[in-house]
Amino acid sequence: MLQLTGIHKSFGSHHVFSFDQLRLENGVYWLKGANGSGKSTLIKLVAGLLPFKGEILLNEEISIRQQPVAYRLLVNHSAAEPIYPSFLTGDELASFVCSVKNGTIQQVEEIKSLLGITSYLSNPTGSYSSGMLKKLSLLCAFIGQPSWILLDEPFTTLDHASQSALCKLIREKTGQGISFIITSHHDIETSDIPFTKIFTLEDGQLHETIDR
Amino acid sequence: MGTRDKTLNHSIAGPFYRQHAGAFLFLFFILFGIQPSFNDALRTHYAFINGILTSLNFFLVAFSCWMLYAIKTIIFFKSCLQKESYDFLYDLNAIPQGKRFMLLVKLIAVLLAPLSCYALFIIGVAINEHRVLNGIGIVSTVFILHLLTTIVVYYFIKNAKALQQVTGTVLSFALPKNLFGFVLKFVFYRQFITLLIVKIISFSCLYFFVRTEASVFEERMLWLLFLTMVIGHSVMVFRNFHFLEEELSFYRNLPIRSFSILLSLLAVYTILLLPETWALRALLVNLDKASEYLWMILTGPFLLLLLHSLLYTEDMKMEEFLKLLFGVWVVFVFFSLSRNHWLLPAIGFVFSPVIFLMSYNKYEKNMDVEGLG
Repeated sequence: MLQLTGIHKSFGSHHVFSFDQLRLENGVYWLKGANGSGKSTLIKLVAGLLPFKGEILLNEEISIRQQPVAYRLLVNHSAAEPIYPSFLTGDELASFVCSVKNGTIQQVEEIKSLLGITSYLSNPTGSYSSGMLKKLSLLCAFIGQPSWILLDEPFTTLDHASQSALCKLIREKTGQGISFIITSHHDIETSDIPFTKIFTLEDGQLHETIDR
Repeated sequence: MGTRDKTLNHSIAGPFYRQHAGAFLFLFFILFGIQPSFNDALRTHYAFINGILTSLNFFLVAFSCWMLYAIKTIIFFKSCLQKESYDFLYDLNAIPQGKRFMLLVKLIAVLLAPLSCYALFIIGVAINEHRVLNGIGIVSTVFILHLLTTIVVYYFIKNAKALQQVTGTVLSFALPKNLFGFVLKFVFYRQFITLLIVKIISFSCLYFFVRTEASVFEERMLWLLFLTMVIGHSVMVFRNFHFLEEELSFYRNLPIRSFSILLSLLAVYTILLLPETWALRALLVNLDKASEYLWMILTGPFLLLLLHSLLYTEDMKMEEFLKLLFGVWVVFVFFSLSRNHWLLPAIGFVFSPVIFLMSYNKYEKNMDVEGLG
């Protein structure tokens, strides 16, 4: 369970969003919103990438502020537009994430195979296309034993085969008890991801759109 | 000045000088600041130029420095072309070859302006010393360097798109796959020329100064020189910081203890200052000043770590960082005047973690409001 309390985020004088309470039971959540509504900001904030006012608690006991290491061990993130140092290889980055997230080589190989990641990971990321970067980012997000995986626009830049593979992977991980927050511009309602709830971020407020 | 010249100057020359403002300030201080007076500085440079005019070896040393500077501008230009935001430069291929070349000649003249200025001084001294032919020879060399740099840059523009394809090879030596290894790789791979220039200046200054005869050795002057040389590494600290927070920013989602990050950075800066540690060993061997040696080799990494930690206090541009840098340098120089030199590493040791731990989680890059996702 993920609990966000007294959340307020602004960039300088620009208010992005604020809400008093958001309680997300384990499940799969779709976060919708127009461009610039703050979806990625909210995802980054939950991932611990951005500072904010408020508190986030995982399973009612692990605080993002008080236990930052334990929290980050259980919350993984994949960026909408991943950026990696162009001189490092995908293998180096995956290996780094694997070592700190307590993943295993076998797990990495399994996810690589599911996402259709071929041998290009041994090349520097500077040579990757945006789709390849996205797959690397998704690979890193599935490494370890997370409770929550935050996927920011995961289907953007992926080909159809990879989109299907990702849906399959999400379903599989949901079955294993992992929860997801997914943002997407694409209409993923038609996909067979078992969404628990859909939220819309609009005018700095979070609205629950539908309860499934 | 035409629109194209203005565009090139704004997009390449401006960022080049802004990005290297710290390095220029450092070099200016080394070349003109450490002499007791301005007249002494002029006399020193007059002697330098005379050396360049009369001695082939001296000329070769100076030429190597000029060539390093020219390579630095070429690398900067190439790195700009590799960014998609600089794709508009590719449009230069649409204008006639002659005009394109002249545009680049003017741009390179702006980028190599410090060299050209020194060349003017060389002509002045050559006339004064009745060595006009030597002077013309040296100025011609500078001119050829201009021309060669322009040709290389011209070639890059012609192949601008190809530069965005597969980038260079990965370093052949293995480094640990962690923050420490990545930052170190960034220093060796992306900042190699800067590293080389800073190390040549820093190592040679310290190596020769510390070999001064014991009877005339001035300890406070060595501290001043040492602190200046360490501060000279701040360009690399600034870039390391931005590398971590921009290209490697995903590490903030990883379960790494703040203290481990701090230790990784300390290890990087300790390795970075190994040549200085070696250069200063005469303090230990010849001058029997073991404690001074110890305080110096401890101060270096902790000072760089302090500078890195200070960058987390707010999103600073290079200009703001330079002001901060000056403040830190003044504080350290002030404490170096005391007899308690242990205070210098102690300041770094105490304040680096405090500042880092207080500001690391609050740091946020200033961003444009538009395009918030």
